[in-house]
Amino acid sequence: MKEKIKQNVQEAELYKKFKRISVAEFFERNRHLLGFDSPRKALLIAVKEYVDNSLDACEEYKILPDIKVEIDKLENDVYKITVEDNGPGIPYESVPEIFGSFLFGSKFHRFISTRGKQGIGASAVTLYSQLTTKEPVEIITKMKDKEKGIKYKIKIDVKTNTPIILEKEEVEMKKESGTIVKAKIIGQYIKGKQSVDEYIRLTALINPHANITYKNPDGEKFVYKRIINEVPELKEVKPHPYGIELGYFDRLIRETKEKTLLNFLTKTFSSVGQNTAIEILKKVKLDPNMDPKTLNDDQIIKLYNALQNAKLRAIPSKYIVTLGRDIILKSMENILKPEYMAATKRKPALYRGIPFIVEVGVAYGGEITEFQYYRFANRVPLLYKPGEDAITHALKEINWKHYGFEVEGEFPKDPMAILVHVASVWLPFTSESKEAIAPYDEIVREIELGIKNALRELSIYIKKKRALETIGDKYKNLYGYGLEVIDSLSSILDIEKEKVEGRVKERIKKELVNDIYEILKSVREVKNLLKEGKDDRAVALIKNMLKDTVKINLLSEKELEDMIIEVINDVKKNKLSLLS
Amino acid sequence: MVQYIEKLSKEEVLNRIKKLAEEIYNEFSSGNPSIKLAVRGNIKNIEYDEKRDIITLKEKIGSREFFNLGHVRRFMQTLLVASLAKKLVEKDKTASLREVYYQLKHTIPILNVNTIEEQEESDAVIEDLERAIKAIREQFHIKAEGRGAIYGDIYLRDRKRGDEWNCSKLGRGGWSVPSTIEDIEIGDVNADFVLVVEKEAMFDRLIEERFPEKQGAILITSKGQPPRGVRRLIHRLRKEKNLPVYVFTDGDPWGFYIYSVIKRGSMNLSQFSELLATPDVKFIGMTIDDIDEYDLRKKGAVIKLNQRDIKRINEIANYPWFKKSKDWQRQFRKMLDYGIKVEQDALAANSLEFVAETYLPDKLEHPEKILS
Repeated sequence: MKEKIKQNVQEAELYKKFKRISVAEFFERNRHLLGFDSPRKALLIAVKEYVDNSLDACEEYKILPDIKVEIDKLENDVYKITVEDNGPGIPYESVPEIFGSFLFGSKFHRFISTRGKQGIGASAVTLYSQLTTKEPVEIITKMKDKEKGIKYKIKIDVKTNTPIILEKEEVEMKKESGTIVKAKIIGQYIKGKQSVDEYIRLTALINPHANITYKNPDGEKFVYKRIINEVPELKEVKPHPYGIELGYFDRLIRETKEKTLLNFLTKTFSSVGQNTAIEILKKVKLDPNMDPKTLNDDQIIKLYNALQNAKLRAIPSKYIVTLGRDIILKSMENILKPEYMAATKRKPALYRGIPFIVEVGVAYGGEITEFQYYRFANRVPLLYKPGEDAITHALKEINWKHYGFEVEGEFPKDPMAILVHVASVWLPFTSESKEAIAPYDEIVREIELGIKNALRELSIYIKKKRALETIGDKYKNLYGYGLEVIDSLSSILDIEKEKVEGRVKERIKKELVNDIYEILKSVREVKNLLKEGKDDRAVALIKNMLKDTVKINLLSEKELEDMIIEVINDVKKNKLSLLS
Repeated sequence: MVQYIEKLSKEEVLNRIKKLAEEIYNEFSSGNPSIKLAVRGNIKNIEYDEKRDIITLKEKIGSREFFNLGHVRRFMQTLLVASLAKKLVEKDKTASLREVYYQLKHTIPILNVNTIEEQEESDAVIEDLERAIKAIREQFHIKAEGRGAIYGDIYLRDRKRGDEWNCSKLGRGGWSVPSTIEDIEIGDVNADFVLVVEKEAMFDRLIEERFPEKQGAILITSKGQPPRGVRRLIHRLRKEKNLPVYVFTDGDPWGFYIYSVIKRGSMNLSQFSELLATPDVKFIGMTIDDIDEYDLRKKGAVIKLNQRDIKRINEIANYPWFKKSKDWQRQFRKMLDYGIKVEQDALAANSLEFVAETYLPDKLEHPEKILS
């Protein structure tokens, strides 16, 4: 019973956060503002809106997300999108409003590190669907503790920005809670960097706590299994005055329930205490006890400016959701399957008094075949407008050659992936469609430092690797030149060639033993295999590195193998520290 | 430590080659096989021995290691040359630098590269062997192409062939000096001094004017920077016959440096200065003073200095042995002040006979006009 009351309170609270503004008609004429500028992009944006909403909802309710995404090609360019989650479900009465009217989201008025747009996402898909296929969207949702789920078919009345409910019925749902959304839109399915496939892959990369299964229109199925079991903790924070625009400030004043200006300032914003508020009001000659709603436009502007110029504490960075170094490494290992990785999480930095955190992961080789970089803003992959993005700006500042990379054009040729995640409770974007992080100097510099940190570690590995890569050449040279040396020594000293050859060969083999110790000491893969007790695979790996020595007849394959095993045994017996 | 010595017996040369190989062979059983050799001379690692007035090499030992991938090729090449040198000495044959190059060049099977690609490589390795066993290449029977000639009343004898000849009876060209004169014995000399001339044209001019006969001179031309054979010959004429030696070059930094090399040795071969340098040679001309003295400027016989000349003047003016000489510093300063240089041939502006009948006799009569 107690549980039930709590649920209702939560439901009511959720509902209270929804507010409405009528703009459906505006968006009908300006669909590009929502990101629907081409059929390809429309397909991506529609999937993205639903998936982002699912992830956000799960996170808020501390649910480990299981998300299923399916795209079916129906006819010509008509695609059906289905996104299913195990989230908390949507309060049944709110479904029509959420999917059938604009600016009715829960995020618009909150300062929080969530993914979603400002509450226009779900309705935008509905609008786009009815504009292109004349079809409604279908929503099936079930909340915990409700016996049955509910199914809606919804369109938008563009003139009034109100939902049109075409169908509403109770349905059975086996899950405890969850939501299924289906939309039919005209789109275009493509492969490549700006494809839905890529968006899902990168979403899985940055959300390693989620299970995501995805079926694309070609029938290919992708399964991304969760690798961590903690749901990122979201902490909501009140807006910081530095981060808001005048228009938004104006609305906050008009809609506040606080009865005095002093309370309005201290209760609405973070980092504005009693004393600070009084001081600010004194400066603009406003009575702390006056009703905020009675301010005229001039007074609002004055107050806004005074807030911008006041010395305020930054928002504590604990509100920012990041993955952290270890999880980035784990996730890269899981999705990118590289040969080597490094990652770094920077300390919080500020732009315009707003804290943000940069995390960078670099992955090299393995299944990665070319240079690529992945941009993430608050755990959302950014696929469009790379040229405008702060991350691209920062990457262009890097002196790649310094780190031992071969450059072609602006970026390295090497098989390397760079993941950059910028997180903040209030990230600046270059446009409303939130496709690129605004290149503020402070942000670009911080990203640059993060990339450099991570590259430093990687470059040490690559330099060592290059030296060991040529180890086969080393023995080819030693033995090739050695044969000439043998001839000369034998002729000068009048000793039979065989005798000299035996001695020189033995000495080269001794050097080979030294190098095997060196490989054990510094090749990560070999070390890992030995740690895991996979000696056979370690031996095979080293043998492969040194295969040239057999090819040139310096020694037999069996001899080489014995030599490697002997060194491994010796290391295990005497110098275990080598392996730590 | 083995040293360079004037006369190295065949056995001693073979010994040194064998010792080098033996050490390496031992190091192959335990240790780090390497060839130790004195570092090649350059302005940074040479020393000016003021007492003896020659350039010497600061004994700095470098090494070429078999297990160093940057060294192994050169290591192999040095032993290749050593093994050829051993055969040459044993068979008493002499090979030219070019012949050595072709003798040693072949493809290494495993690597599919040549033991030696260009002759520069084998030339350089031969020098390495010189510095490793402390013997000059002629001592292990490798010679450069001969360059330079000698004319005058002097008997020379080829010890091996048993030939003997007088260098004034071989026609106007004199005797061509080979790269190695280790088998040549110097016999009777009927002359008062040796004159080393930079240019062949001047050598010819002086012979035509019968200068050697008239003045009792042995004439040698170096044809530019003197090769080892010529330097060895000058060294031995001074040492064995006690003849004064004068050097006659163009009045420019390049000519001055030819004089310097004959007198003190070159940087490159600084380890052999004791065998090649002749410290008490004197410089007869051309000096910058000559331009005023013989009125060469107004005859238009001088040439303007170019950028390279100026750079080179400043370089050699700072070599310690030139730096300590007030006379030479005055020449350098004057040359820079005037901005001109003067060639030997410029003396012909007066008359063809001028150099033989006036210029050189005048200098020889006035030792104060001669630089040392």
